[in-house]
Amino acid sequence: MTAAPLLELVGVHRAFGGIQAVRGVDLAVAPQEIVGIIGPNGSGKSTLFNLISGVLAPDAGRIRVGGVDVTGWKPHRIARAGVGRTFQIPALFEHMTVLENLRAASVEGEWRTAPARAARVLDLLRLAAVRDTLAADLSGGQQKLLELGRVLMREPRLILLDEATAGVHVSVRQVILDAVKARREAGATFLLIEHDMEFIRAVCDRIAVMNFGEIVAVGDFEGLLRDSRVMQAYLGRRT
Amino acid sequence: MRGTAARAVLLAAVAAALLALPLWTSSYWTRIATGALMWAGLACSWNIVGGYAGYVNFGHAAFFGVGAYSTAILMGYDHEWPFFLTLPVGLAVAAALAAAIGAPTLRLRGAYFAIATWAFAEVLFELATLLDVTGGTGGLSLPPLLDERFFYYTMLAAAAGTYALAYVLLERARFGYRLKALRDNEVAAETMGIDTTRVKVQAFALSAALAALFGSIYAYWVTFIDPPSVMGGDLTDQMVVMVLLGGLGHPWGPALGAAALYLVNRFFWATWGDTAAYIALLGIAIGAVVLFLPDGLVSLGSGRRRRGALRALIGKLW
Amino acid sequence: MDLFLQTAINGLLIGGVFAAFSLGFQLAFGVLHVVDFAVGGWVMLGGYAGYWGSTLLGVDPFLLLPATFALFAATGYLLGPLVYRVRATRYARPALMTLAFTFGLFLVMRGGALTFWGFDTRAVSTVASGENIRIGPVVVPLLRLIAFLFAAALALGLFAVLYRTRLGLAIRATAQSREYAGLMGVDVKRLSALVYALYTGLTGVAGVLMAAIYSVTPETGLRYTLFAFFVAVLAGLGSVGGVLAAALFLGVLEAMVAVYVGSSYSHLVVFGTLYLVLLLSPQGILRRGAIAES
Repeated sequence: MTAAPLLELVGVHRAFGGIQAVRGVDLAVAPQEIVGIIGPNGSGKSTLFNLISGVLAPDAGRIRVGGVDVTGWKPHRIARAGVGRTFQIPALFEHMTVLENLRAASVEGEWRTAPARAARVLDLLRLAAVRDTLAADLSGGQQKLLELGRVLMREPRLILLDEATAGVHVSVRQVILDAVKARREAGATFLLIEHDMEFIRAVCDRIAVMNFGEIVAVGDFEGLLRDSRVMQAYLGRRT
Repeated sequence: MRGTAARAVLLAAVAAALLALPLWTSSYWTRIATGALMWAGLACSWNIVGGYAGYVNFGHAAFFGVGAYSTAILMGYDHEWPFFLTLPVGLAVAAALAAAIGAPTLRLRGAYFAIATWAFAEVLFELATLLDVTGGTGGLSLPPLLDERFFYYTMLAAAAGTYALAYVLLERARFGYRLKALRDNEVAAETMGIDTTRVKVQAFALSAALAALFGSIYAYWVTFIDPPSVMGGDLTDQMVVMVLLGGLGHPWGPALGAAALYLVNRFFWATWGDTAAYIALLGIAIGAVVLFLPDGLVSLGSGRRRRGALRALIGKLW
Repeated sequence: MDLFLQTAINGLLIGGVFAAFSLGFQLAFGVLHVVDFAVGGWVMLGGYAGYWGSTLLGVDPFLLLPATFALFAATGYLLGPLVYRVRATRYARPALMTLAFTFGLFLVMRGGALTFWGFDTRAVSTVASGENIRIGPVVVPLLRLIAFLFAAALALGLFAVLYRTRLGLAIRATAQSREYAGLMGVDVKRLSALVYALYTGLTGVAGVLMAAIYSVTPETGLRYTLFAFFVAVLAGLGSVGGVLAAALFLGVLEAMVAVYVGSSYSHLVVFGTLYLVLLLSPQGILRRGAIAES
């Protein structure tokens, strides 16, 4: 890793009451890298996403995006700094149509070109047929796609996907996979929370394993399979 | 494109009818039409925050009152300003007030916001009854102008301007997307780069300024104001009901709701000379809309939603 | 000093009655997630029930309290499912729709009362009206004392139901999570109706007491809705524990302002305090309230 990291986390902490949800996470992600985050439920993965996107402020530690310290920034400023994300439970604009959702996503960006880009995103994600459907009326898989589409509309340089493929049909998963690969080619960097190991093997350059709020291992897919710490994290055995 | 043409023709017909109205009706009906226009404009101003941003303002009458008092004070014997010069003052005071209280108040959600705005409006109401500059409970008089057509056309211009502005800003421009996005999901809107606090305060200030505009015109029209007549909670109640009845978050639904309710209100006045029963009727209207027609009168027009409303009606009969 | 003590006593006693109707309101919010704008309407109708009951039957309104409770609880039991229905639907914004719905209910009550009974002020007289007990320098109005004791008994009864009975356990479980309580075999629909009935019953009785102390007009309702909101916000919406303290504080605050500043300022102070508390500490002074989602 020679290039300066696009995302850099240094000693990031966050507690809720007495519970240390994220404790001392260090992580550097290079430009155009795709890093997967795995770990059992409650290990702090989604909290980490909330910290990076500014939905939560860290108690301690620094967060840098493209070399700029964004620690404590409000979510909209971090978003404008080039960070896009999805949520574990899709956070759509439910009373807007699919097309309106996409246009709303570019409201702080390139507004004039939004209709043309929305058309491309609709094609890419196979959503053209439901463009005038209310987001609330979409199927689960379509909702996941639309949320990804909203992120793509903004063309962020860092994209955080929280379980983008959870519970979606195999064909939808392929659409998401293709979109991620294409966008990486176009220059984007990814951080993915995933439970789908096939998906992770297919796209991730590196994988970080979280457990009890800490990153316990980082490596490539094959290496982690042989790592006993990963097995412990998943099987719950403690040393 | 046939739909667009039909809509243009309809719009032109409505515009022509409204422009010509004082020429073929009595002054009684001109007065009623003036009142209907005022309520349509007020309902629209409420709808900006209540319908598009999803923040129910239970104290909107305060801003109507700010406009009314600004005009009454400035046109009074101490200052004797010409009417049209007082309009920008009322607008600016209301917008500044809304901007000042907006940031802290709009952090509150749902019922908390509703209660806070109500409390704020009552504080202003009580101040108006206690201060000297507002004439206290005795109220203020304005130099009378007995020209129904002047008020009709002024109100028409204000209402038309309000609807046009709201339509362009909320249905066409980015501002509307921002508002609707934060209404549906504030966190998601933030992660799209939308500065939700700023957008909410802007909407709140705009909505307040428009309410003040109608307050100013109203004060000059009725020539006498006191706290209950321009700041009373009943005024807010009416706006809320009009918007709910017409269609929450709809560009012209509030006009429909306002016209319908205002005519019923006048009918009650003309027939029984009091409005006690009208208050109960307002309540029944709210209950019926919430239970059976949550998308308001405008939803009766589209077939898809009509079936939805009917289904809701059947489902609600417990 | 005597005036101060006297004012404090008067305020504390009336605060007890505020607590009675605020408790029901908090219960409705905590369990049903309904902010009931009509709370003041129930108080007002309770006052009229006391007035008409004692006028038509010639019985002291205190003796009619159980009947008043039964009447209002029955009404609430019938109305509850409707309110619950609005709250539990998949509307765009169910919390706001519920607020609007109860607001409509309030307008029906107020408009109905104005239509049928006009603007006249009705005084409810009881055996205790005008009687006083002297304790050293202070005069304790018997009526307020009895009202306070009634309210305290009601509050204690409510706590006993909540924390000592199976029904109370089911209510508290439902307040935590409607879904899980349902899975545990609680009939959430019936329970919601019961809670609403408990709330309207309590509020109706408090209304009789308020009318006996202050008299009643159709316009009094709004004031009591404000008071219930005030107490609820101070205590934290949905929190039952802080209600008594908040209600007593409101009682004393109002009495003090009326005596030392002037009664025309009491609304200003109460509303102003409410607004400031909301801005500074929206979860209540005790920070126990839940943040209501829109």
